[in-house]
Amino acid sequence: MNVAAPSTVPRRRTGFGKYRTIVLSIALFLVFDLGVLILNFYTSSEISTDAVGINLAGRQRMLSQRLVKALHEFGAAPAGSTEATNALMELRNTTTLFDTTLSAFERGGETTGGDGRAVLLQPVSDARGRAAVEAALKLWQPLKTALDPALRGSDAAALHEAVRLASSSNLALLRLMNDLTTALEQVAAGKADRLRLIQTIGIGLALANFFLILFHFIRQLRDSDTRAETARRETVEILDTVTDGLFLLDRELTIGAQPSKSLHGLFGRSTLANQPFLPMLREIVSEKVYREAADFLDVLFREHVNLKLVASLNPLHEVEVLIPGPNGEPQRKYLGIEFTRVTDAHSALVHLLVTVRDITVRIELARQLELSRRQAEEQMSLLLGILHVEPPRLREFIDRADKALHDINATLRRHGSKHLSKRDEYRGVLNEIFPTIHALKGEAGLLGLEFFEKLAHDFEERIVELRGLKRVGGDELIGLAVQLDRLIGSVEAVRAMVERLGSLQQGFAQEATAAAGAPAGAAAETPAMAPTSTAAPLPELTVDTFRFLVERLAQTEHKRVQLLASGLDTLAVSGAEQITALREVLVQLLRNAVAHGIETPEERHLAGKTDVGTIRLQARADASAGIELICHDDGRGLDPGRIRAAALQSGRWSEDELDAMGTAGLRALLFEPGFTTAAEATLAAGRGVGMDVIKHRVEALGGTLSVASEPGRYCAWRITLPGLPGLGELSFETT
Amino acid sequence: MLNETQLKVFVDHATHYFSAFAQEPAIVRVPYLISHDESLVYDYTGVIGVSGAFRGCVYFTAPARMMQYLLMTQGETEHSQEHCLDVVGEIANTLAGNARRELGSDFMISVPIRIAGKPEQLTLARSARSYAIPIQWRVYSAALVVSLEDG
Repeated sequence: MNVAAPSTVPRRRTGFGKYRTIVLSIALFLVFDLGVLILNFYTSSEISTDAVGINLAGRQRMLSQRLVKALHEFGAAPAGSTEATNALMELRNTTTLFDTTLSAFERGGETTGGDGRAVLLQPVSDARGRAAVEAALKLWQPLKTALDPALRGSDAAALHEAVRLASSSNLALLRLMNDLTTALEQVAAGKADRLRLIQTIGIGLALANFFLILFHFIRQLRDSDTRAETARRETVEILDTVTDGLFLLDRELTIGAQPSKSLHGLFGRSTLANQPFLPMLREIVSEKVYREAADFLDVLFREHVNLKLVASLNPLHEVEVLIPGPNGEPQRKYLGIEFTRVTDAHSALVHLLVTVRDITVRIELARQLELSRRQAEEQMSLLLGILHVEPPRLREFIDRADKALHDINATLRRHGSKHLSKRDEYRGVLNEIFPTIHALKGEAGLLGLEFFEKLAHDFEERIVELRGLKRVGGDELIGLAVQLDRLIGSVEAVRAMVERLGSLQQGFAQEATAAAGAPAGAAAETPAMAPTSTAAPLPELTVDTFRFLVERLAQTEHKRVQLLASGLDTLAVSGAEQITALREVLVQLLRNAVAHGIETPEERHLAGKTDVGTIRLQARADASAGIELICHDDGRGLDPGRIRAAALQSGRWSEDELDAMGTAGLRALLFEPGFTTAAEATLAAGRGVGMDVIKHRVEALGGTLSVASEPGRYCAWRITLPGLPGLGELSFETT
Repeated sequence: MLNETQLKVFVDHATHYFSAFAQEPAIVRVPYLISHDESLVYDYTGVIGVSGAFRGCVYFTAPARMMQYLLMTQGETEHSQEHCLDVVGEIANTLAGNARRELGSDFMISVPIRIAGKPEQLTLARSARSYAIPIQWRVYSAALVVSLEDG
């Protein structure tokens, strides 16, 4: 998905594009300057040549006078004298030089310059100069002819004639050479004037061109600046206003110089421009996402890879990030980060345009929906687990469980707040919380709340496991806290479910009442599962309650058991506390009876018993006198040998100690915390828990616990609560 | 739901700091649960944010005297607030680094923040209870609080 190219594709410019005009102007400027320079050189060169001519024309004036003077000196000097010889030589030199130079002025040619070097003269072209040269030639030819004999020094008459001619033409020649000089000077002056004019025009044109460039392009630049500024301002306004985060990413994965303002808030950073993208990303996403994103970006910059094909692999499409909030605290957000390829006019990939959106609300909503769906599923499963329990009893259980678990947490908290010495440990904490969780497990089992019973059983298992450690430190209890959290969570879930069902039922009842024309509110008085019922009903001790438990446990243990009960209804006269305690005790006694007392059908068959074991519960209560409760089973009874073997195996007692105990002492071991005769732990029994709890519970109520047993035949437990004498039907031993 | 092993990662690394840098190991006392409206903070707190499979925060909080004593055992002569914050931040950093490594790449662990006094922006997970793990070092009590709910 490339960013769309502009609708009119810009033509590829071969020249200087928008700078063509300014380049032409500058070129013109240079041409002007070059033209002026060339003309300047040319004219200067001519003027320089003219200067030589002027100098030589001036020399002609001087030579004409020197020639006459030399001629007079030669005539006046005695023949053969040095003076005559010198004058003759001067005469020859001046005559030759004058003649050569005049000839060069006329036809062009070489002559000797002022410095004695040969100089090439162009023929004089100026009309006045030309006239002067021609007139001078006319005077010079006769004089030159007259001078020839004189120069040879052979004839005095010829000399005399030459002196005469020289004297007569002297002034004319001087004037003509003067005219020539003046004419040449004027030509040179004219060229100098022309040169100045050319220079003035050239500089003028160059200046005009300069100002044209200046004003034209300043205006263009201003316009261009204005357009650029407008575009920049618009871009800034867009980038400052847009709620999405926008930025460009180059091949080095560096964020561009102009990220949108909102990007800082989205990434929780004040500086983003020109920063490397990946290190920033690494700080806010998980390591896994970071690695995937790095690979994905690498792929995006491979131009041959089709973006449409890989777009679905974008790991940042919906990504959870943890960014620092205004006070530095971590804030969770969900961002949607999308990448678009940006290409230049030649379709080359230059950048990735990155769009960042805050999609937290949408994702959170989806998450809530998913959570609700999951909760609904869990609640449905929960519902199936609690439907069989009568609502009042369920509510009672929830309240009791809630209190019990928070009591356990309070115990943990109390010990956790105490300073601990290096020698201290937490075995006592385990003993303290054990009865509570054990009772809760029994309650759950009684109601058939298997999921809860299982959790409580696991908790119990953990406690027993920890008790086996040499030292119980705080870190060993971490698992208990986790399990406690799960138990509390389960209770809360059941409570929420019960309340929801209650509301639903109440709503239906109100609708039904309204439809029947009953007064408003009448229906709300007797809802079957109304959570508004404030007084928890008294705990029940009915045979059905216990039968359910016994059957379930028997099934688990692969045994066949029947429960017979009598007098349980008399217990209704007791107080709630007593009934609660009795129920806990009965649950444990029944568990023990099923787990340890009643044999498997095969065992019973071998022992000559019926396949079905029998547990009898017999209760008698009097409001003023007290309670007696007996739990009897026709199982294997208490076997001192088995107790001894289990005690020896536990390693807590030596053989000598056990030998010294006797039957009563061995039976007393049943009330030791953690002691069990079961080979393995099950939901019913086996972790050596229970009897000590029963004993403490009964004693806490001021009662007594006693046992009667005959190995292989029966075991019976009797509980009395204050004021009530024993039934005396059986022979009991005080434990 | 956070399991025991994951919870122990945080506890182990908090106590490891003391074993490694404080001459004397720390003792973990009995852990317990606190609800979201309870406050368990001392004078200095180092917090890391967690996101991903779980969301919430984990923080180590300690009294000023403990931090000052810790600085002393490390040979520091300055016991100012900034130095105490450095220590608590370092512990939080240790937690963050190790949690990143051991909890897996599905977790996001934020850069630790350090707080002096009662932090206003520290909120515990609402839909779950938080674990309070009291940590004792010498005569001082600090706490590690793990407040995470399912992500």
